[in-house]
Order: sequence, then structure tokens, then C-alpha cells
Amino acid sequence: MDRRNFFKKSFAVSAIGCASGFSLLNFLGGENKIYFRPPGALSEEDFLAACIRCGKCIQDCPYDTLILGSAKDGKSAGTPYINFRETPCYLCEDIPCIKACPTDALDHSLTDISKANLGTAVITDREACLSLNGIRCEICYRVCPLIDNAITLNKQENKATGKHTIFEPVVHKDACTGCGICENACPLDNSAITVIQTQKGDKAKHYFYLNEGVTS
Amino acid sequence: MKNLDRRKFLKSTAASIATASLLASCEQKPKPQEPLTQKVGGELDQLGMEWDKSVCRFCGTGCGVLVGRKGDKIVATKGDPDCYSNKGLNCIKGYFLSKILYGKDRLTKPLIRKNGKLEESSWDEALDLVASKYTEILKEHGSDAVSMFGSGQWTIFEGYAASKFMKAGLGFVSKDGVGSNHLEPNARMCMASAVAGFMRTFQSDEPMGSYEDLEHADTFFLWGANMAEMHPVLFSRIIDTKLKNPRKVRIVDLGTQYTRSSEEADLYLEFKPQTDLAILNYFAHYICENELYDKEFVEQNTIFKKGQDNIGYGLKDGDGDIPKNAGAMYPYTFEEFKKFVSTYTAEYVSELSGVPVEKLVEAARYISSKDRNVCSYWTMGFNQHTRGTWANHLVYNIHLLTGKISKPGNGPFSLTGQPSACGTAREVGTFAHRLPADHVVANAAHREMAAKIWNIPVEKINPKVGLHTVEMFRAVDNKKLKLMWTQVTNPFQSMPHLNRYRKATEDKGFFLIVSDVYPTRSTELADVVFPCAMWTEKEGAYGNAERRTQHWNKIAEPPGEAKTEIWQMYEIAKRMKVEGGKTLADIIYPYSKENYYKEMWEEYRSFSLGIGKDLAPYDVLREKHGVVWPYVGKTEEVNGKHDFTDVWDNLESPEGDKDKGFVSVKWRYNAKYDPYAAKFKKEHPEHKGDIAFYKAKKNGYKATILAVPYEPAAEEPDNEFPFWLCTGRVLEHWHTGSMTMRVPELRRAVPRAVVNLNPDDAKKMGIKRGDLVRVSSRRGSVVFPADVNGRSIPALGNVFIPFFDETRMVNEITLDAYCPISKEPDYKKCAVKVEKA
Amino acid sequence: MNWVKNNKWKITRRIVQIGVILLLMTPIFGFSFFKGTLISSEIFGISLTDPFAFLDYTLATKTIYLPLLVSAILILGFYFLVGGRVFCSWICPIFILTEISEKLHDKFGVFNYKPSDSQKYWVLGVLLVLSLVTSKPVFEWISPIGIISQNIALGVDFQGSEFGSELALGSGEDFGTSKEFLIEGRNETEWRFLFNSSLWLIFAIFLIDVFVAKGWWCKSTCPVGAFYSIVHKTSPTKIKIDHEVCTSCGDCFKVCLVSEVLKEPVKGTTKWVNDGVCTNCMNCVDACPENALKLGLKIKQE
Repeated sequence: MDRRNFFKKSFAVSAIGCASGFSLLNFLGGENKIYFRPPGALSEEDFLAACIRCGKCIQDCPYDTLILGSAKDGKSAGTPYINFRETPCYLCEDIPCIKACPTDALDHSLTDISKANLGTAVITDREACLSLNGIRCEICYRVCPLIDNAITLNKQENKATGKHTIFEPVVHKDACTGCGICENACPLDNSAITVIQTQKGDKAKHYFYLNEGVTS
Repeated sequence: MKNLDRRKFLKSTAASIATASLLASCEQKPKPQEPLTQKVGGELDQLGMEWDKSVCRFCGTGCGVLVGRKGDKIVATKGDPDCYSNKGLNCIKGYFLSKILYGKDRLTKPLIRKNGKLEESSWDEALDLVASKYTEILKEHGSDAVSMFGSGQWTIFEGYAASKFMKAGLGFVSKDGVGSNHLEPNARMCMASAVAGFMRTFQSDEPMGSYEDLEHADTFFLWGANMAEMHPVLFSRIIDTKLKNPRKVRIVDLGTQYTRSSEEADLYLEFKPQTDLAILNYFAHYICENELYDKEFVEQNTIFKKGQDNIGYGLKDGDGDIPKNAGAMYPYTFEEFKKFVSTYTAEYVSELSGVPVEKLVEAARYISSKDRNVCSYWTMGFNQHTRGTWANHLVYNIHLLTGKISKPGNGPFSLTGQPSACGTAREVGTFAHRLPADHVVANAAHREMAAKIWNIPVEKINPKVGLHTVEMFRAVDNKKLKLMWTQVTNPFQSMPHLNRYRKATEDKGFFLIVSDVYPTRSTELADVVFPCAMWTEKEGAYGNAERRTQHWNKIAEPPGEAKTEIWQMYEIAKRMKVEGGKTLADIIYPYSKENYYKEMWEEYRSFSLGIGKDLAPYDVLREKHGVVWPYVGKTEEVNGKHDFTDVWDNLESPEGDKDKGFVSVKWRYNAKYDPYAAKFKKEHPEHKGDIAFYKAKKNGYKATILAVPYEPAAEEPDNEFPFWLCTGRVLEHWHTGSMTMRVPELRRAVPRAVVNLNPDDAKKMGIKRGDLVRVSSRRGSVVFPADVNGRSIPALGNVFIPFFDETRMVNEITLDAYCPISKEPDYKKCAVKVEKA
Repeated sequence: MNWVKNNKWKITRRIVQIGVILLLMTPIFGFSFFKGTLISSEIFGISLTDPFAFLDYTLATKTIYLPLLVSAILILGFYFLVGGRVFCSWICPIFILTEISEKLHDKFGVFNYKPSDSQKYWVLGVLLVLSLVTSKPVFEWISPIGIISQNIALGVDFQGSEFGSELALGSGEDFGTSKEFLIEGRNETEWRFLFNSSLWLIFAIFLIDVFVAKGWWCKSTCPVGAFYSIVHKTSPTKIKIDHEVCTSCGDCFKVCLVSEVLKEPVKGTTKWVNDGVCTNCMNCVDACPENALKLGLKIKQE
């Protein structure tokens, strides 16, 4: 009888241990990665404070862009984030995710989606980028919802043939919303253009450019 | 019972042995075992792949590629640096070229429709069925009841075999004893207007210039051509030319929507659809008014004519609303011409087209300026036009008036959309009215010549022009056609007014055979589906827009039981008995096992020799990375007709084998480059200048300047259907997407067709990016997601939808009006309404 | 028929419990009158928020967000009127698990740990302090209520699967046959979710409930339950006992999920079930053979 009891107890303890172990490991461990938040999200610290993990923004995203963090996402469990390579943000003009947010974790004053700042796309792999290798690809440029503003083409001679042009996609941070459509569309196995998180680059106060302050 | 079974068994064994031997005869089976010898150099040679040359499977640019094979599979491609057309570069479609072979759902077995469902069958069963259908219909209804719809993606060999099958072969089987001219390529929907324009102006098809013009010109006019997306590698050369000389080079884009080409252009003229005719006439008026024409050239090389106007739109079956004399050209004088175009003043044209006067004048100044080298490029905007032939004429008018033609950096150049629209459709002449090399069925002498080359009685060639594409499909609907074989094309996604023609195939008395590599919207309607080998799984050759013929060997094995179209046609012909105990195959495909393709090529080549369309010999094609025709031999022994020894030394041949006794003509009609023109000049010492349109014998060796007016489109927007609909392509996908949509990367980049709207229109209708939008015409309606302010921004009142998406086919709403002269349908203009779905 | 009559509250409660789950799932079926989870939701355009989540938010951000306050007051008001822990027994899906685990505990329980009554208040307090200190709404982070309602409403761990990208541009449309074309689709339906899922937490709670302590989570630990206990104490809606009819048969104790709350009233010291732990589940009302127990409004102090 004791023996049976012992087995019962050890089974119970190990089952509970497993289940809570998984949860604890997940919740406390978490993945060490940068989370891209929906449009209008506060800075990461403030966002994590303000997001009450209700999941409404995820429900209202018409493209299933927003992913709900699960336990494996550590302190981001329950919060919305974006994996651009899976589904980017398609920049809905009515921004349903912000409308859905019951708190100010997503800034309700953002009404023009082209002013959203999820991050900035950057060609992170210039060696792999097909366009920079002279292939007429430029898919990132053509899929950009702010084409000719956020991404433009910088044209330079293709020295390899002497007859062709290299159309280099160039991202402009001021216009780029970081929607990730370019990262999603890149035909390489690992996207050569990726969205990174950036801060506003304020102009220095100790130096003025040639075109500033000119009066004539 | 047992005996019978045994007999059956023996019979089928015999049949399979026969099949196997045939396979050897035309498949060149041992090829893959032969080592490939192309060297790619450096570390690539160390990768354990064998390489051979080939050409890109997609657009008409004809980029050369090197193909890497491992085992019997293609595992890599590389731009071919030795190919003059692309110098080793590709676009993103070309980058994924090897992947189109290995889509998950490749067809590998013949399919036969049984009880309404397509079921797998053996080749024998399928071939027997098709051959018996052919024989039955030919015997009962004659050759008028069968048709074949092919492609500008046919290899030249396939097109030629098909042409022989229909035009030479069927006469031996049919009850009326003549072949069928109901043979059309889908190129009818792509560059028939350019063909009509070239033929009527110069009496010889295809452009005079070459891609070299892209470096020599300084002024580029893009007419209804989004070159940045549709001919990306060529556009890259234009931009390079501009980078090298930014102060001089000007790119002028004329179109109905702001495209990626407009973005790179210096001047963008956005006009109302169809008013391109008026703008072209204004340019002619500007040239005449300011006396900017080349007087000597005009006098020497041109003849003025007036075209028949008011020629209808082909909206009624049987060319019902088209006058018989639609293509007539009447004598005219320069003075009359000047007067004719003088009605197209800048103010009038500006009002008509919506282009500001100053922009018109600026463009006119560029195109007519004496110190500019002007090239005009156009594709479907001109060709898919109910006045497409006129549009082509009008652009030649300008180049002929200013003499900017056939010279490096000067000339009108019709770009093609398909890899072998030139090579197969135009040169082989797989049209209802043509024979190889500019010859036509209606001409007795041409038929005589063809019969001689083909070694058949001349009566077997039908002198009556066959049904053109739209009429062919209408004939299906009108139950006049009993059988159609489509190859390498997907008409039941790409025909305009699709609903009508898809429905027509439901008729029980109509038998549809589709040869294709993947299940498409056409195979789903077929009675029999033949699985095909594609691209480098078979030997082939394509001819690109600059007249370059590019040959490739069979490099990989086709999957499963997929077979070449050549084999399929051979097998059908083999199953048709003709008099004298022979089969049809013995008559039309009398080539030896060892040199099947070579003998076919040399036979075909003999059509082209000595008439300024000279093709290169088979061995040269196999060796060189593309050869531009005319590839003219020096002596009569080589070219069959002329001796060029006396003019040979002065000829320039940038990529020819002059020392080997051949020149590749880069600028036709120009005595500096073209031995025929040089010879002509020698024989006509009074002829001034280097340019000689020696092919235009009927007009006294003069090209035609044709006076034709602006006429409205077949269907224009009204209150009920207030928008113009324009259809087309995107860079990432090609045509109906049956290949590129199977490349996951391309599919991810552009997963679906969207309707492009002008932002102001969208705002008015409350449509946002991503909203579902219903686009309807009088012929149907389809729902598309909207894209606003994206890669293409149509003019106000216009919408643009690409046609690659088989899940939402824009052609269900397009109109099947066509150019009465070229019979090419107009995919660019019809009236639609747009509403939120 | 008799069974139905004797169990009418229980049946009603089960219908409501299932109804809540269905309501959470309505957006999946394309209805639009409701969206959200038990943390925050929107019904007919009215925003509602769990007041405890509001507290968490406020402590974490150190700000008061007015729209959130309004939506929390609506919920707080509602539970004040119907009796605070009505949330637990009628609404919260975790409670269903608790009810199951209680039955299982009787059979499989190996320990019989009895947490103290005040444990949940300690947890409540500690969590709120943690929220204040860490500037994170700590309980919302690990809330089993949030996790289970997110899983019901969204299917957390299947998010971002292969279907997501197909919907790009133009929502909710059928993609037709072409889907089969893909040579190698990005088939990222991750089976890793088995190990990474937040649902492990729920499972752990369930196992503790079964093996270690009866109703460990809902009765003694859940801070939301504790919060609503406080609300319940002040709420007028309470179970009332008619001492004249009561025979002290004890049937109510057998069905009560928190039977200690009945002790005092049945003993006769008070007419009302005053203990905040009572969930107004109405099991006792159903069970009482003399109909001595009823739901009443305690308006003035008695």
C-alpha cells in the first residue's frame, strides 16, 4: 500500500513538476529577440507596461499579421508582435489594431498610417541582394506601399557588363514605416532586406549644413 | 479467348517497341548521357555540374543562360556572358528559371476525359483516341473543322512541325484533300499588329535594328510599353545609356498609367486611351509643319498612301462589321499627307488626349530633332489595339519622315512579349495566312515553293486563309470547329471575353486536346491532355525580338512520361494512314533518326535563303550563343541566290563570321551592314543614301507612309461603365502564371492579381488599399483586392489589372474587339464599372 | 423532468458558461458584435475591461487612462450588482476546470493540502506591488484567465501559420486551387507549440487542483477571485437562508464549491451568506429540499 502510495505521489509530483517546469522555463526564460510591435506602439518598455494582454488588436487585424506572444516569448507572452517574414503589416488605412487597443499601449493619436514607425527596412545583406548583383529584381522596391518615397532606386553602372544598370534599392528612414512588406517579399531564402528598430536621428545642434540658414 | 489475349499482347508489344524506336528517332534520347562541354570557368567548374547554353524561357528579350546539370536534373542557371542580348544578366524570373521545371504538380501522364473526369491513361490509348478523332472529323467534315492553337513559346522546331502537320499534312487525310490553315499562335494576341505594320510598310516582317540601338540612341520613346517591368534587362541598358550621358539622353514615356518606366522617364505623357493615334499624327504634323523631315530620304525611300478609314472593330462573328477593304491603301501625295495631318494641331490633340500642349511640343521636338538619335519601343499598348496596325504605321511614318531608321541608334523597334514570337510565330509563319519566311498561303508562287520544299503536291496546301484567333474561338462557339489542339499556351485564361469561349468548349461535339506541362485553366476543359517536356528537357531554338536565333540542346530528362510536342505530332501523324501504305508521318516528317532536328532545321532554313531572311545553318546555331538573322552567306553557293563578293569587303558585321563567309546583319536595309542593301545600291547607282528598302519591291523599293486618322475605341466608358480597363503583366509573373506561380519565391513576392486604381478615383469611391473591389463589364465581373498608389498608377478614370492570376481571371471581363487588319484583340481598352465588393 | 426542476440554476449556469466560451469564439465565425477576451472586450461597441487589469495597468504605468477607467467601472459596477464572484462561477472558463478537478481530486488526490484562507489576498497584494515595482502588469502576463480566453478567442499557438500570408491583401477570401501549386510552402504550423504553449500553466494548475489541493487555484490563489471576493463582500446580491424552513440537512454543504461560507448562515448566526468567497453559483439553492436558500438583495445591514 505504501509502495503504491509512493508511486502515486511521485507520479503526481513529476506531472506537476513537468507542467509547471515547462511554463516556468518558458515564462521566465523567453526568447532573446527583438519584438516588432503593431503600428503606434509605445517604446518597448512602456508598451510592456501598458499592454494588458487582452488580444483584441490581434483579433482585429484583417491580415493575421499580429501574432500573440505565447509563453515561449517570455515577458512578451500575451502581447502582439509581428514576424515580417511570415506576414508583414499591410498598413490598413483605418488602423483597426489601434482602434481595438483598450489602453494607450498603441498610440490612439496615430491616424495616418503612413506615419507609423514599426522600424526601418535596411538592406542588411548587400552581398546576397540580387539587385546589387545586377539582377533585375527590385521586388522590395515595387512591393513597397510607399514606393518612390520609402524606397527609391539608386542607379549606377554595372561594371561587369558595361552596358547595364544596377538598380540599388535605397530606403529612406523618414518615409519608411517598417511595415516589412519588403522583408516579406524578398525572394532570397533569408531576406536581404530586413526591418530593424531605429531611433529618431536628431540633427546635431553643433553643426549646420550647407543648405541651412541660407538667405538671399 | 486465350488466343485473342495473346494476340493482343503481341500487338501491344510490337506497338511499344515501335514507340520506343520512334522515341529514339525524334527525342535524341542519348543526349543527356553525352557530357556537356560548356565551360563556365573558375570554381563553378568544380561544383560537379555540367553546363550547356540555353535561352530564358520567358519574355521576348531572349536572355542567354547557361544551364547546370547534375544527374538528369537541372540544378542551376547562370546568365550567359557570351550572349549579346543580355551579356550575362537576368531579371528575377530568369533567376528562378530552373525552378519552373520542378513544380509539384507537373503533368507526367496523358489524361483522357472519361465520364466527365480527366483520368490517367497510357500514351497509346491517348494517341489512338486523338488520331482516330482527327481521322473521323477530317473524313466527315473536311479540314475546315480542325484547328490548332499554338504559341510564341513553341520552339522553332515545334512551330515548324505544327505548320507542316496542319498545312501540309492534313490534306492527305481530309475528305476535301487540302490542308487546314486554321493554325494560329497565341502570338496573334501579342504582336500581329506589329507584323501587319512591318509587312504593309516594308513588305518584310520584323525590326530592322538590334539591341545595340540601346547604346547608340540618345532619345527613347516608349509607347505603351512598361519596359522597366516587361523587358527589364533591356530597360537596364537604356538607363545605363542615360547614366553615361545624362545631359543628352532623354526618355519619353507615353502611356495611360504611371508605371516604373514613367518613374525613370524624363517626360511622361499620360493620354486618354486610343488617342495615341492622334498624338502620333500630331508628331507627323509637327515634323511637316516645321519642315523637319529628311527631304532626300523621303523622296528616295518612301511612298505616300492613304488608308481606308472607318474599318470596324470585329465585334460581330465572321468579321461581320469589318468592311472588305479594311486593309486597302490608296495612292496619296506628300502634299496631301501634309494637309491630312495638319488637322492634328497641338491644341486639338491636347484636347482629345488630355496631354498638355507644352508636353506634346516638347516630345515632338525630341522625336524630330535633327541632332538626336531616336528609337521608338513599343509592345502591347500599340499592338493590342483595335487600330493596332495603324498605330504601328504611324510610328513608322515618323521614323520614315525623319529618316531615323535602320541606322545605329535610330529606328522603330517592336518588342515582343514571348521568347519566340519572332522565331516561331513570325519566321516560321504559324499564322492562318502565312508560310515560313514572309511567304503567304494566298500566293500561288509561295505555295508552289513550299510544296517543293516539303515534297508534297501543291494542291494539298490550302490557298484559303484560315480563321484568325478570335474567329477560331468564335467558330468553336458557333459549332463550326470540331477539334482543337492547343500547345504551349493557355487560351482559356488568356482569351478576351473568356466566359463565352470557356462555355463554348462544353459542347459535346467539340474535342479539345491540350498539350501542357502543368494543370491550367485550359487543361481543365480538355478532353485529352498530353504531358509535355519543357524548355531544356527537349532540343529547341527560340528567336527573340532582335532577330536572334538561339539554340539549345536537350539537357535534362522530362519527368515521368512527359514527351515533346514534336513526338506527339509525330505519333499522331504516324497513326494516320495515307494512300500507298504510308503514314502521314512518313510524308511530313521524313527525317532520319540520327539527325532529326538538323534535317528539319535545314529544310526550314531553305525557305529563308536568298531573300534577306537568311537563317544560320544548324551547326552554327549549335555552336554560337545566338545568331542574328539575316545571317548571309557570301556566295551564291551558300545563300542560294546572290553573289555578294563585290560588296563584301565594305560590310560591317559586329558579331558576324565575316572571315568565315557569313555576316550577321545588325541593321537591315542599311548598305553598311546588310549585303542585300549593298547589292541593291550597286545595282541601282541612282539610289541615294545608305538605306534601301529592297524588300518593298511592289512599291518600287519604297516604304509606305500611311495617312490614317484617329478613330475611337470599340467600347468607351459611359455612365454605366465609367472606367477604362487595361490589362497586362507584372515583372514577377509571366503571362498566365502557369510557370512563375509555381516558383514559391515569385509567388510570395506577388501572390495575387490586384486592381490598380488612381488614388483620386479610389478616394471618391471610398476604396482603400486592400479592399475587395468588384470590377464588372458587360461581359462579367470579377473581384480583386485594390491597390492604390502602388507600382502602377493609372490615369484618372482608368484601372489596370494583370492577367496572371488563374483564381481571378480578368479576361472574363475584357472585350474581344480586334484590329480589323491584324486581327489582334484589344486587351487594353474596354469599359468597366468599379465598386466595393 | 424532476431532475431539470431540481437543477434549473445549474443548467442555467452551464448554459451561461458555455455561452461565454461561444461568445469568445464569435469573431472566428464572422460575427462582429463582440470581440476581445475576458481581460478586455467590446460588445456592441461598448468597451469593457477587467477592473483588476485596470489596477495592474495603472500601477505598472503610473498613469490613469480615462477610457480604460470607464470600461473597468462598467464591469466593476456590473459585478457589484450581481455579486462579485459571479464572475468566477458563471463566466470564467478556468472555473469549469476547477469544477472538474474537484471531482477528480476526490478520486485521485494524493495530497490533501489546505491553503490558508488569506493566501489569495496575499497573492493579490504581492502581485499588485510587483506590478508597481517592475512596471509590468505582472498578473496579466501570466493570467490563466487571459491565457485561456486568448486561446479560445484566437488560438494563440496557431497564429502566424501558413495561412497568414495567403491572406495578404484582401481578407478572408478563398484562395482557390492555386494553393496546391506551392512546391515547398512555408509550412510553419509549429508543433513546437506543444512545448512552448502557455497552456502548460493551465495544465499545471489543473494538476495541482487534482493531486494536491482541492480548488487550489480558484478558491485560494487567484487574485482576480480575491479581488471579486472583496467586491462580493460589498455587493447587495447574496444568498439568503430562511432559518424557519431550514432543517440543517446539510445537502447544501455537499454541493457547495466553497462550503465553508455556509457554516455561519446554516448555524443560524446570520441570514445572509456574507463571506466574499461565495460565488453565487446557486448550487445550494438547487440542492435545498426545503427551498430554504434563495438569492436575495441585502440592502440594509441586518
